[in-house]
Amino acid sequence: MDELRGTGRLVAFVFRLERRAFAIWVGVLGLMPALVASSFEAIYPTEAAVREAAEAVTSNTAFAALLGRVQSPTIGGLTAWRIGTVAALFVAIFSALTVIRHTRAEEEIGRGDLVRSMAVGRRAPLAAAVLATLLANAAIALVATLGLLALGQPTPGAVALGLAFGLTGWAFTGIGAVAAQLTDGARAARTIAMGVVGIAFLARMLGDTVDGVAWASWISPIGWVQRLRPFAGEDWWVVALPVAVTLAGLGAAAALAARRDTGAGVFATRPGPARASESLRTPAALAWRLQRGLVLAWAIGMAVFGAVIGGIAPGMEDLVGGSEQMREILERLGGPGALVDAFLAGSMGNLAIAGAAFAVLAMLRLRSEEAAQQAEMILATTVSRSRWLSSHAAISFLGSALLMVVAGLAAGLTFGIGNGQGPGEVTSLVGAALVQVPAIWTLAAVALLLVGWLPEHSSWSWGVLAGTFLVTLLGAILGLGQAVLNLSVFQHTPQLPVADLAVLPLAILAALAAVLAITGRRGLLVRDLG
Amino acid sequence: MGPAIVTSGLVKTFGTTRALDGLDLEVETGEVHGFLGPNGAGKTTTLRILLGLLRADGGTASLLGGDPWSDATELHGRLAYVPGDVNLWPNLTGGEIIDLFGRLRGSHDERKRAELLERFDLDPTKKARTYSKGNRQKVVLIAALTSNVELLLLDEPTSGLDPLMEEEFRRCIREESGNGRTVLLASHILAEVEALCERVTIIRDGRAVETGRIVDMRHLSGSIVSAELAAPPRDLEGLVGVHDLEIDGTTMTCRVEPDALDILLRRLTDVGVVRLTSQPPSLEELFLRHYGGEVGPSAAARHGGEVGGSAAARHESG
Repeated sequence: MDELRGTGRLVAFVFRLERRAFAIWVGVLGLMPALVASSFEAIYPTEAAVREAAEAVTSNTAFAALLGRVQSPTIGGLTAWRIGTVAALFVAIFSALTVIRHTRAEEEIGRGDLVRSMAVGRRAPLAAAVLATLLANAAIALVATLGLLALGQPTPGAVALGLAFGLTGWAFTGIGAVAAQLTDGARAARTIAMGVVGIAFLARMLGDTVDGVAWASWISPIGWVQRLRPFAGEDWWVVALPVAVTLAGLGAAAALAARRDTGAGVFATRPGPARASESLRTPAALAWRLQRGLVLAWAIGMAVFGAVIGGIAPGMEDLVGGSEQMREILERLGGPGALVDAFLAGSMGNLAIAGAAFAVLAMLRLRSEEAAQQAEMILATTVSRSRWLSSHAAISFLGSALLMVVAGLAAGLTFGIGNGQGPGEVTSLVGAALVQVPAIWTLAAVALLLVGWLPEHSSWSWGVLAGTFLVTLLGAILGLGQAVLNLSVFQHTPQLPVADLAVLPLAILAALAAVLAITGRRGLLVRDLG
Repeated sequence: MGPAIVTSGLVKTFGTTRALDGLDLEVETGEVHGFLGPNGAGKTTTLRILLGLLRADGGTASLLGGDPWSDATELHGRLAYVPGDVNLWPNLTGGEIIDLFGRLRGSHDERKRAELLERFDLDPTKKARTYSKGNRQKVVLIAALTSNVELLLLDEPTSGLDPLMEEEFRRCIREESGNGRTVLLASHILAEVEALCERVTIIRDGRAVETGRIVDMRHLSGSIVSAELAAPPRDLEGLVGVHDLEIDGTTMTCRVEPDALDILLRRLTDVGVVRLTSQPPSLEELFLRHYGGEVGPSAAARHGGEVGGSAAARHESG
């Protein structure tokens, strides 16, 4: 036990550092099921209404692709369907990033050495990071379960949904802990972990929509939420799957950690060139060099998701063909093909959230370079603040537009192949992707505004992005008023290809983005740096 | 040619802390100027104002004849800066970073680059994340020294360097100075400043408390006199111009101002002098006098130590 000495104190320390973040994550994810369930109760007051809603969404492949299938025509079943997958995605991201932040990131900057030099066991820092994250997930599970019980939902279902959230988080705690051992850089570790999250989401998406590959949902930790069947005759044995992944991950991480030196990764850093390439001579070239890995990783992710969305879409009309009534309802929404188009439009909205996350991440590089005092070395040369700022802003603005083009292209190609229209679909889907860009730029510009005027609080950009996402995702279900919905920039983006192209809202969003960006730039030009 | 750096009455506040409180600093063109002060005295803040990263709240500053804030970009082509806390981009190699900085500054000397890599024994193919603190410091030092600039702004440039490399650094600075370059060396390593600088400015709580040539400062503050006497000395207490008097039986040490030397010696010879030494104060003693530290003349033995506990926070305000 000597190797674990001090773990308790370190767990307390992680809680101290993360108290605000943990409170937000536990609060938002934990309360979400109860909130959604109570608004479903309001929207569907009778059993018949619930049943009808469940049937409508069950036959809809678009929903199946994004959220999975409804397992039971009850309030609990609808709730588990509506938020199970999204919450699983969030706990996965939260857990992996938290573990990496308190292991590899600490080691990379050398703080890990400081902790290890004290009277703590060799394995204590890893154990503490893991334990704190597991406990936070347990809290999410507990709050989610209690919230549903308070609403009078059936106990087994409430426990199962809470467990599903917490155990998904546990599985990705293990996965994050392994990723943290592999590389000697925290950025690379995060990329690996987020790649696994993406693959897990994709596997579930395929498994839930494409006949014959249902097994794909079974190999995905994110798919297990639905496999556990909360409120639909729970398959309790399924909890063994995430528990097994958690144990395997933690065991592997501990074994890898024991075999490597502090600060080193399983994959060693290789030497690089002794001379800079001819092109590395401007701040823009440096910004590209620093961010190109991020751009590439996101481009791959966006291309894959775009291709899957385009590939699933053509099959939708067949599925709905059986029900005349359903066809009527959907036709009233916008004529033949509206179902497919609605799915494509909704998917573009989701891809746009991903694009916006990239744009914010790339923009916040300005702040992280400043805080790490790397900016001052650049600005002590003949590079002006304006040029330095533009170099990273360009990656954010142009990079996010490029990512949307990539997503639109990939979706257009697979969609064209699937429905026999060929390359004709490419233009329309690239267009549907590109109309999202002004809204994305607005969120990127908010980040620039914060970096310019409230540098200490530039991480609020993530809050704005998350708020926008939640309003888009749950606003209508939670019965939020139009005034609240309008706070999301994506509310104002024309839903191509369902709706027609409206230029005015796009122009207004673009103008808003420009004003925010110029104001933010001004702040960065006049304020103290560092 | 005017002075390279002039600041007058420079003020900078961060919230309620007054990091600079009317700082006057003048660095002549062509000199190596020591900028002395312990952690938190305001050295880094001053440099960051001179670089146009911070805007002063009061007072004036001029750098190479220009305004450090509004002419920043143009001025930066004529200077090189070495920060005290070096964070490099983990994925770039040392060689790439040296080249990048040279290109961004607009001037670098290929021959010198190769020579300095050799002299500082730095492997340019290693990724920055694998460098130790000392090696990171070498990367930015080499980048600064390879550029053909008029002014070097160095903020504790040898922190993390081993003694051999520190010696190499001193040689480099002497060469640069020989080539007519101006150097502002902010440091709390007194031996380094004493070895390299002719003039120094000592800063305390954001103000310059002493500035001038080290030899003049020494002269003005008098000598340390220690004597072994035939009998216990009398009537030394209260002599005007005699400070830090210590008497232990028949031995005595004190610091004496030039004007009081004559009367002191008379009193000593009254009881009979067996042995007598007199020496100018070290820079450390000059320095500590401004910081209320233990300045007993016996401290002369600890010549050129480092000021301030090394465990104290490395960051200066800002």
